[in-house]
Amino acid sequence: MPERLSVLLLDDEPIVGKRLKPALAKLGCDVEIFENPGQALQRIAGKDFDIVVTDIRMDEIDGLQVLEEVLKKSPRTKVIMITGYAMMSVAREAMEKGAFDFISKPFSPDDLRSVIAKAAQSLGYSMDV
Amino acid sequence: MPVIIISSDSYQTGREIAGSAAKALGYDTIGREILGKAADKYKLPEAKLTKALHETPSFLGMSSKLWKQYLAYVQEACLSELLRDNVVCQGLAAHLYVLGVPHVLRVRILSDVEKPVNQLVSQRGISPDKASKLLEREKQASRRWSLEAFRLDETDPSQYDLVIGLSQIDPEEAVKIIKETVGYARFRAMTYSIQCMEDLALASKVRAMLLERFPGARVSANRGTLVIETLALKREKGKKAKAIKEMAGKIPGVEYVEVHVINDFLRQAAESFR
Amino acid sequence: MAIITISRGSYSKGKEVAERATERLGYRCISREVILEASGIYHIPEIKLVKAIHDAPSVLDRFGGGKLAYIAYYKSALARLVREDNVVYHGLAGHLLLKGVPHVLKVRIIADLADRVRDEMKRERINEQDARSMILKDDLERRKWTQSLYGADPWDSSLYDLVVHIDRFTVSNAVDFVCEAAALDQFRTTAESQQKMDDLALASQVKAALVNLSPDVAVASEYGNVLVFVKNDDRLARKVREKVKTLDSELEGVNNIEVHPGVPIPPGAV
Repeated sequence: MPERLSVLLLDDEPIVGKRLKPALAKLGCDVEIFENPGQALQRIAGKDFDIVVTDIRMDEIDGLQVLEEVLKKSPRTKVIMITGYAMMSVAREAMEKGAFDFISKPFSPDDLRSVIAKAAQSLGYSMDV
Repeated sequence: MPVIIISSDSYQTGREIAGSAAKALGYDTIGREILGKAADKYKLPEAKLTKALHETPSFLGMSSKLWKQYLAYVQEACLSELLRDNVVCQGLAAHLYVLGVPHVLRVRILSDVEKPVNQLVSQRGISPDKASKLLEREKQASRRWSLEAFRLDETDPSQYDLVIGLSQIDPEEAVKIIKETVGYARFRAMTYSIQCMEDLALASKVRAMLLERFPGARVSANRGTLVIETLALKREKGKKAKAIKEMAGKIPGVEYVEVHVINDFLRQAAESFR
Repeated sequence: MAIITISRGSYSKGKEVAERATERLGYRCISREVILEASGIYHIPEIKLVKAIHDAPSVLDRFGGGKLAYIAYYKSALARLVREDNVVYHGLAGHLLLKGVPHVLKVRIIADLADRVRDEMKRERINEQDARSMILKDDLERRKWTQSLYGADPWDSSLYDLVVHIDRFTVSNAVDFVCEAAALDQFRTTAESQQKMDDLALASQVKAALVNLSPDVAVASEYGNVLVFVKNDDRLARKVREKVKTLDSELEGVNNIEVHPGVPIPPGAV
């Protein structure tokens, strides 16, 4: 198993990636940030990430489609959904489709770190938050 | 993991199904046994809390103010228990106030239509027709209760994920359906759904504390931020808002309190006639 | 095995659940076929039948009897088509039209209005307001229809064995529920339950044959012994008796037919 956790973060709001990258890097993750879902999916086609964190509401391709694509290619990957428009129906749909977790915005970097740590543990990494 | 809330047109039926489902799943049950603890906490007889769960206020009975307080105490007691995973809850009207939480499976169980009629016929020696009418009256009373207490019709199937009728389907089979349903990934707890439950629990705690002094206070919570609405006359606004903030701020988990004071037109009108 | 009836609000994925359950169980699926069957047997234009079973009867209909006759034809056709079980029926009021038959699994599929409106907008390419008013109008007609004919509210969940809120699950989940319930012993056809189905089918056919003479005629059947209940009216009773003589030879399964004028109608009579 590689030492560092590989994480892809996809959100069409630039501020999200900017805020979260340092917090995740401190956890010992190799983080790649994307704002464009099409480009993110292209990257995912070329690499199996340990963890994908994706926004749900984006233009053209929504997070649930990203979830499906990621798991089709790499069922091992833990996909964490983030959204500012959390609703019970969407949350349930995401879990049914295989999401590892579902978080509503706004959340602090620490909130995400603890979810990432849980995902890492389930992948067999040990991680101090 | 999941929480199951069982509602039924018969307390006994609901209790049996809840117990069997909990046994089948290895879950705990939460029912009216928690009312004892709540009664101790608020220093009142347990019977009053139980009564509030099926009677509406009346001229010679419970006042509306007290009724709402008692229901708030029940809610608070129930919601604090539901923060645990893997529980089956029944008998506390939770189906009417645990709303919008994704990892909660809400099931309504409808008794076998003939069984309660036959039971009444043998217990009271009345005709089947009379027994049916009595049960229908009870059903309507229960419906009115849910509408008055929580502004929701508990007989409306759209309140639930699933409704199972026991006229043809056996209780064991109903439990099997519940057991399989709760295994679906959509009922797994997630950060968002746990947060939803924590918000409901915190809001109920604060409301239970405020209601005695501020009847009609409405509380919602979002990650430690409270929004509290209350009625007040213009001249009382500042004082009331301050008092509420102080009281609510003492509750663990509360980080910020916002108070919206709505002008109490009725009291204002009443006072202007004095 | 079972007869499954799936009741649904309009555009609530009930049809999809019915079709997928049919596929999984290897059953027949019927809906529109009932109209075609009734239209063919009773020589009524399809469009009239569709209107009769879609729109709630008005006061005039009750006096005129035309709509009630069409509903009798529909019921007769439905009973014929589901008589041989292993069938999924989705359409109007199956749970009421087939009341009293033990091996009928009664399912209702419900959906949130917002989701139904969204689906309808997509399907019919109309705006939200039009979609919403179409759906609400349809719901109201169905409700009025059931209430005026059966005194039952279709939204009353005690009429069903299972009510599935489709927005809270996938269609697959709903199909799982239906198929698993259909496999229960309670919905297995027995000799006794098949007899009840045969009697219902027979009673419905006799009623359909007599309804033009009197919309208030009621028919019950037990092991092929058919009882016809009419008002206490000598002329009417005579006409019905004459008609009934021909039915004896026309209809299969008739053991005996009697006409009872002025006798109270027993519960369960068609």
